[in-house]
Amino acid sequence: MKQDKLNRLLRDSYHEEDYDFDKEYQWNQIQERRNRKKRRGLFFIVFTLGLSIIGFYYQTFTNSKIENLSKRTAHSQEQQLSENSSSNNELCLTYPQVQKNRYNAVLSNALIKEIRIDKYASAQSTNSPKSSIDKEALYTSLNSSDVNTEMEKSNHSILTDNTIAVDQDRKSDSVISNGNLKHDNTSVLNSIGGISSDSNQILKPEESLNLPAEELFEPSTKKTVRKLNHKALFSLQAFSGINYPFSKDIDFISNKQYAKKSLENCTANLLVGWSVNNKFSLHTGIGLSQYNEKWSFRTSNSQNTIIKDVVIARVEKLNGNIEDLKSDVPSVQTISQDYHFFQKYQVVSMPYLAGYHAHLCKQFYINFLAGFTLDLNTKWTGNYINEEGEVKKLSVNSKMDWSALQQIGISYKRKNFGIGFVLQNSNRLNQELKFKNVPNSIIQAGLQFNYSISAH
Amino acid sequence: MNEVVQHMNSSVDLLSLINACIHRSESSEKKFYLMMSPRVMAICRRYSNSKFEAEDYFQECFILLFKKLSGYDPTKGEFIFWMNKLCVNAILQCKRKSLKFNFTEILDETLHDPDAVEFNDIEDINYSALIEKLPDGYRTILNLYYFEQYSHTEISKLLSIAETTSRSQLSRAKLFLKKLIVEKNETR
Repeated sequence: MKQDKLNRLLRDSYHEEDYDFDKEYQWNQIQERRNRKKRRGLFFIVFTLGLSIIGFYYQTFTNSKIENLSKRTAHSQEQQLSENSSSNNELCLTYPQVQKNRYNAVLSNALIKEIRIDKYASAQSTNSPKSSIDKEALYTSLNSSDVNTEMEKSNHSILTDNTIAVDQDRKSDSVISNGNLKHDNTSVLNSIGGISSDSNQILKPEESLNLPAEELFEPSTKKTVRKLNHKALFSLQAFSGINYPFSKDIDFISNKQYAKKSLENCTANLLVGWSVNNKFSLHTGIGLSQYNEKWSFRTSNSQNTIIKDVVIARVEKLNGNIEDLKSDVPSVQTISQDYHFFQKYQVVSMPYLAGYHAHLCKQFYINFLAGFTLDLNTKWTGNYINEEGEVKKLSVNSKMDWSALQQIGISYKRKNFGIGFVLQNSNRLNQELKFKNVPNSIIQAGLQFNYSISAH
Repeated sequence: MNEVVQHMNSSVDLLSLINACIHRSESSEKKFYLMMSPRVMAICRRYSNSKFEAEDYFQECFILLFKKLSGYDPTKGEFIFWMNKLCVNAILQCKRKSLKFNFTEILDETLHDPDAVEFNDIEDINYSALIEKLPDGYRTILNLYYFEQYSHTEISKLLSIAETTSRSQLSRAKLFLKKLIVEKNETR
């Protein structure tokens, strides 16, 4: 069916025909449409990047705003409490402003102003054998400066690490529970918990009296405060190093004499990093890498040649003359040929990396970074060797290629500054360039300088 | 056209050119374009009913070609066949997007037996001009069957139609073509 007359006629009619169209105009149109698509791709990348930066700033801003708000709330509550505490008939307990580490601090700057319990004590006096407690003795005042002393005096002890024990020795101790004073031999006020070193929370007196013992010192605004689980840090990293390009196929010169001379082999990049937490981070930035190499090698080609008039022997004739005996001798002659070629390579890239930092000690840490780089522009100019082994010149300009990037480094950090030695390996993902000696893998070694910026 | 074919046969040069195009060497891309444009345009003209439509397809084909060039594997076959297939797919994709496919049922009472159509007595006719006049569905199936050498099963899969539809459309295309030829002869 397919071999019928129609088939032949159709095929012939089409193959013979050459259509007239404006090739140049069509080419321009194609280029324009391709560029438009590229721009659209670039816009998408920039848009995504911008969106993530805005998201990050929004998160940071919201956190700091909440923290400021909680500080302001605490401050206003403290002021209100100070005013209220002027009255002697109220029990005012303020949450201690712990300034040191939560494991070390002991309710410094505590503002337990007055504990007036006389009327409660009298209400309980009939039920307790220790009812003879002097009202005045129970009227305890504690100041921030000498919490421990006062506690000892009144046989109240304050345990660190979120636990307050009240009077374990004295039998007629009082436990503040549910707003009442009770006599108990094992009066321990403990399990307060939730005291944060960086929180300045104040309990309202009315509320605190109605709270159970376990919740007495629970900050009333605890739920509103969103604590940051990490210190959000920016970091700036400047890297500068040397390139070691690896060509996939350089066998063609392996058995020949060659000399390689590297001229400019350097790479530099500037990264902005965001520490997700103490160990993980995200990085992006801009990088420039280039090298310029000159190679030369010598090939030796053998060929048979016939050398004429080679003197084999000299014969002395009878007449006394000496005559040379000549012969055409075939000989193998070696012709050497020198090849010189060069390659220039320049890449402008935008890396997207995720990092993990393993802390060796306080100041030393090892970085592992991995991710991709978007090679915005790659220029390659140089010679390549074709299938016949001939050296040819070519210029390649490639855009929007992807490479995989791995980085390992050891860094020393002091305060905000750091310095480290870094090794990184970049592999072109698109390895379609089949010309020999064009590197698809580059190892870079160099120094990296870090500067950390606290987000708050 | 023959020059182009000869040029293509020098596969080493073509491969080098393709490799350079993969890496966006503009001069190589232009060279590749100039080399391949007559063939691509011929394909586009076969599937279109006007010059403007063909030029649209032509641009689409080259955009797709440059995009997919890295996917060409020389070990799997000749570049020309791969390119033909890619161009046809690009054109069909365009047609699908613009909802060009309507497998019209143009019935002519005077032509009942498609197999009886004979083309022996027809010479000096510009078939490409006649094919341009065919409805889109007819033209596509005619092209796929005769030029791309697809079977009806393959055509049905490619166009998401029933195999019988493909067969009937081809028969009707031939009938329609015959009718056009007869008309052309009568006007002479």
